[in-house]
Amino acid sequence: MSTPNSQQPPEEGFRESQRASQADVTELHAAPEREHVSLWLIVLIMGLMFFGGMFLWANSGGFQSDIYNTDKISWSGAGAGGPAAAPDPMVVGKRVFTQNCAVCHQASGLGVAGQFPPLVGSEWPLSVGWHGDNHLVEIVLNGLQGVVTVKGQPYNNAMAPWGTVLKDDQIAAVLTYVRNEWGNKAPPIPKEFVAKIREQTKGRTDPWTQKELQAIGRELVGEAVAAPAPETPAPAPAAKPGA
Amino acid sequence: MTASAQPPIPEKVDASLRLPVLIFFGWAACWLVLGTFLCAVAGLKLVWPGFLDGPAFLTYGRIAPAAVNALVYGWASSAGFGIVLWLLARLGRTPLSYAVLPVAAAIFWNLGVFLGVLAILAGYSRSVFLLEFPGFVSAILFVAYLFIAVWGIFLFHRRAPGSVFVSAWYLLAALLWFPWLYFTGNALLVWGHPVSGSAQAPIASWFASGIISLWLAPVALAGAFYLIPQILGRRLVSYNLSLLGFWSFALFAAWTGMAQLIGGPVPAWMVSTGVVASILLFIPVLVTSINLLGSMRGSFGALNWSPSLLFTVAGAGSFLLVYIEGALLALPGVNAVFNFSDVLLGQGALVLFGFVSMSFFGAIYYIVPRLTGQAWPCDCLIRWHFWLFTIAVGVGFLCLTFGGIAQGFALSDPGVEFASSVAFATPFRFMGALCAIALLVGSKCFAGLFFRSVLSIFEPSAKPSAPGVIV
Amino acid sequence: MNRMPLLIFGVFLTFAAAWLGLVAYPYLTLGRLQPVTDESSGDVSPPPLSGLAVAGQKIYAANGCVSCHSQQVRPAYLTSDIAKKLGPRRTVARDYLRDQPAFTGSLRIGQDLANYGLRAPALSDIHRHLYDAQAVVPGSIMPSYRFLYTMRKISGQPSNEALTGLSGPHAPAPGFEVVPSEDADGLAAYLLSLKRDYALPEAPQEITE
Repeated sequence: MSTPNSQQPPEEGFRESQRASQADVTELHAAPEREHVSLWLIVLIMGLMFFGGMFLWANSGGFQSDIYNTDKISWSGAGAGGPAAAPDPMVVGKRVFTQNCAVCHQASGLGVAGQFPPLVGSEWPLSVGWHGDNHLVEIVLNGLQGVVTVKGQPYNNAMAPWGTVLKDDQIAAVLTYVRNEWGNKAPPIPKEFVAKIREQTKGRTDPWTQKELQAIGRELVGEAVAAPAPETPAPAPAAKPGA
Repeated sequence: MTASAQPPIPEKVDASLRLPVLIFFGWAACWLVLGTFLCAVAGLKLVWPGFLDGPAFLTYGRIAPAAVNALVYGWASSAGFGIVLWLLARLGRTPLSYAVLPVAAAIFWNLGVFLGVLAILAGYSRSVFLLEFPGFVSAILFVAYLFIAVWGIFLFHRRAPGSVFVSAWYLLAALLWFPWLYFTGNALLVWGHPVSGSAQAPIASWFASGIISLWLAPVALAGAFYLIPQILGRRLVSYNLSLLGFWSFALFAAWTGMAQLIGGPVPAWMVSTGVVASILLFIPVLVTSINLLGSMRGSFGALNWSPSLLFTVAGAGSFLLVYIEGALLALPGVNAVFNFSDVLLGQGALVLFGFVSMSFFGAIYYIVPRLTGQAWPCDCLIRWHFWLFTIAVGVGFLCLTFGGIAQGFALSDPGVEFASSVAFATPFRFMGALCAIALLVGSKCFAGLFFRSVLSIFEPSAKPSAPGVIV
Repeated sequence: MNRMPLLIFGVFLTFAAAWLGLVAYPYLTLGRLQPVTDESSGDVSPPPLSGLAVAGQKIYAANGCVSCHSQQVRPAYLTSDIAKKLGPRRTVARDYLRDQPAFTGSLRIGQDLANYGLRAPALSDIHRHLYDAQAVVPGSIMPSYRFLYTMRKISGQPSNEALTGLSGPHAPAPGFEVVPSEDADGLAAYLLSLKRDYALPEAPQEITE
C-alpha cells in the first residue's frame, strides 16, 4: 500500500479524509510476528517487581486487618501498636463508689453515725494495725456482718458481698479511690491482687466477721503474709445496740 | 480496502452503526459542553466564593460533583460506548444488528445521567466520589449499560475469523469490568442498605480508580491502538509488548486506588499493596507508550494532516504523564506532603481532559466522517479545538500542580496556618479556572463541528466538501 | 491471543483478585466491626449520634461538604497531621462506623474536620460561620450557606435562636433577623459530634494530653 510518508502536495489543513484508508489494521497484524523484547526492559521489569515485593513484605503489618501503621511489622498476631491507655482508677473508682457504695457509706465517705461506718481516716481501708489489704479485698468480695469497731466506734450492721457484682478491676479501682480520697492516703490496689485474694477465698459464701478476719494474717500488696494478729479483747465502750 | 473483488464491508458495517454511534456521540458532545461549563463555574467559585452563591443548587458542593459526573458518565462514558461499538464492529467486520436496542440504551443512559445531575443539584447526592447519583438513577444506568455491553460482546463473538487485535482485548476487558465494578460499587455503597461506614473507604477508592483505569482508560487505549497503525498504515512496534502491556495493566490497575488512602483508615497491607501496584503500573504504561508512540517513529509529519492522529497522540502522551505522576504520588513520602492538595485536582484534570478526552476526540474525528460520509466541514475549528484543549490542559495541569505543591508544603508544616495554604493555592486556582473556560470554548468548537457534520447528512444537496475518499 | 475463553478467563481473574482483596476483604473484616464498650466506664466507642446529628449528616452529604473537607487524621510517623492538632490520634476504620456514607474525603480545600468537635467554638459561632464564612474569616473561600437559614422580620421580640453579631453583605437589615432552619441545626449538631479522641484497641493515643 502507499507509504505513510508519501508527500501530499503542500496543501493547508487536514486532508485525512482525502486519503484512502491505509491497509486494514487487522490485515496488517494478521501475520503473527513475535518481535523480541529488549533485554533492558525485562531487567527493568524484574527489578521493579523485586523491589515491589520487598516493600510489600516489609510494610504490610502481617496482612492483618487491625494493623494500620505500616511501620509496625507484626507477624505474631499481636494487636496493633501498644496497649490502649489504661483508664484512670480514680475516675473509674469514683463511678463505682457512687453507684454502689455511697448509698451507705455516703458520698462524703463519712458514713452514718451508728449505722454505716466511715471510710475517712478509718484504719480498715488504710490497712493500719491488724488490718491488711487482703482483709479489705475480702470484705468487698464476701461482705461483712456482726459487730465491728471502726475508729473506736462499734457498728453492728451487714455489708453486702460485691464479689459477684463487681469485676476485679472495678474492685481494685474503687478500693484505690477510697484509699486516696477525702484526705486518705494509701498505696493503690492492683487488680492482680484482687484476683489473687478472690482465688484464695474461692469457697467462701458467708460474709466475714471481724473475728474471722483477725484470724487471717495481714497481707499488704507486694508483701508476704504476716503472722495472724493476736486476739484482741472486745472494745471498751459498750456496744450500742445495732440499728 | 480498495481491492476490487471484496464486498464493501466497512460501508455496510458503518451504515449499521450510524444511528446508535451518532446518538452516543451527540449526547456526549452536549454533556461535554455542560460539564465544562459546570467545571468553569466551580473553578471560579474556588477563587471567588461569592460568585453565584445564594441558591442551594448553585453551591460549590453540588456544582463540583455535578460537573465531574456529567463529564465522566455523560461525556466520557457516552463517547466511550460509541467508540466501543464502532471499534468492535470494524475490527470484527460484523455489522450491528437490531440497532434499535443500543439506540434505546443510549437514550436511557443519557436520560439517567440527566436525572442524576439534576438530583445532585437538587441535594440528593450520595456524596461518594463518582457514586453521587441516587440509587434509582444508577439502576437505570446499569440496565441501559447491559444492553450496550451485550451488543458489544455479541459483535466480538460474531467476528470474522482471524487474529484478534489488541484493541479488542482492551474493549472486551472494559465491557466486562465496568458492570462488575458499577454493580459492586452501587450495591455496597448506594443501593438498599449500604455497607457499614468502616468498610466504605477502601471500597469507594477502589471504585473511583476503577472507573478511570478499568473503564475509561482501556477504551481510550483501544482507540489509540487502532488509530495509530490504521492511519499510518503500519504495524505496531511489537506484538509481545502489546501482550505484556495488556496483562500487566489488567493485573495492577485495579489495586492502585489504595494509594489515595496512604495514612488513611485502611489496614496497612492494603495501603502497601496500592503503593506497589501504582509503581508497578509503570511497567504496562512504559511498555504501552513504547508500543504506541514508538509506532509513530519517522512519521510525525502525519500529525499535520490527520486530526485524529493529532488528538490520539496527545492522549497517549498524557497517558504516560498521568501514570508516571500516579506512581510518584504513590510513594509514601511524597504522598504524605501532597495528598489532599491541588496536585490531585491537576492529576484529575490531566486524566479526564488530557488522556481520556483527547483520545476520544481522536477516535470521534476518525469515526464520524465514516458514518456521515462527509468530511469535517471546517478545518480551522478543529485546530481551535485542539489548541484550546492542549493549552488549557497543559497550563491548567501545571498551575494546579505547582499550586498544589505550595499548598502541600503549607499543609504539612506544623508552623503554618491553614489559611496560608489557601492563600498559596488561590492564584493557581484562578489560572485553573481560566483554563476551564478555555476548555468550555474548545468543547463548544467540538460540539459545533459535530452537529454541523451530522446535520449535513440531511442536507438535500449533500456535497462532499472536498473531492475526497472516505473509507 | 485469539481465543475468547482465554481472554475472558484472564480478564475475570485479574479483576477478581482485586475484588477479593479490596472489596470482599474489607466487607468481611472492616464491615463487621462493632462499637467497643469500655468495661470500666461503660462508654461506647465510637459514641452513637444524636438524632439531630444524624439529620445533619444527611445535610453534609446533600451539600457536598466532602468536596472540600476531608475527615482523616494520618499517623504521626507519616505526616504532621497530629502535630497540626487535627486530632490526638490517627483515624481508623472503626471511627467511621456511625457515618453513612463515610466522609473520608480526598481534598483539603477546606480544613480537615475529623475532630472538629474537639476544637469547635460555641454553637453561635458555628452558625455565623456557616451563614457567611467570609465575613467571619477574611480570606476564607468557604461559600455562604445562607440558604440553610431564614431571614425574617422580627415580630415583637427577637427570637432566641436568631444569629447575633452578623456582619458583611448578608447581615440582616434592622428589623430583620436570621434564624437557623432545622437543616442548619442538624448540620451544626453533626459538626459538633465530630470527635475521634476515644481510644480504640487498634488505635492507641499518639499524644498524651
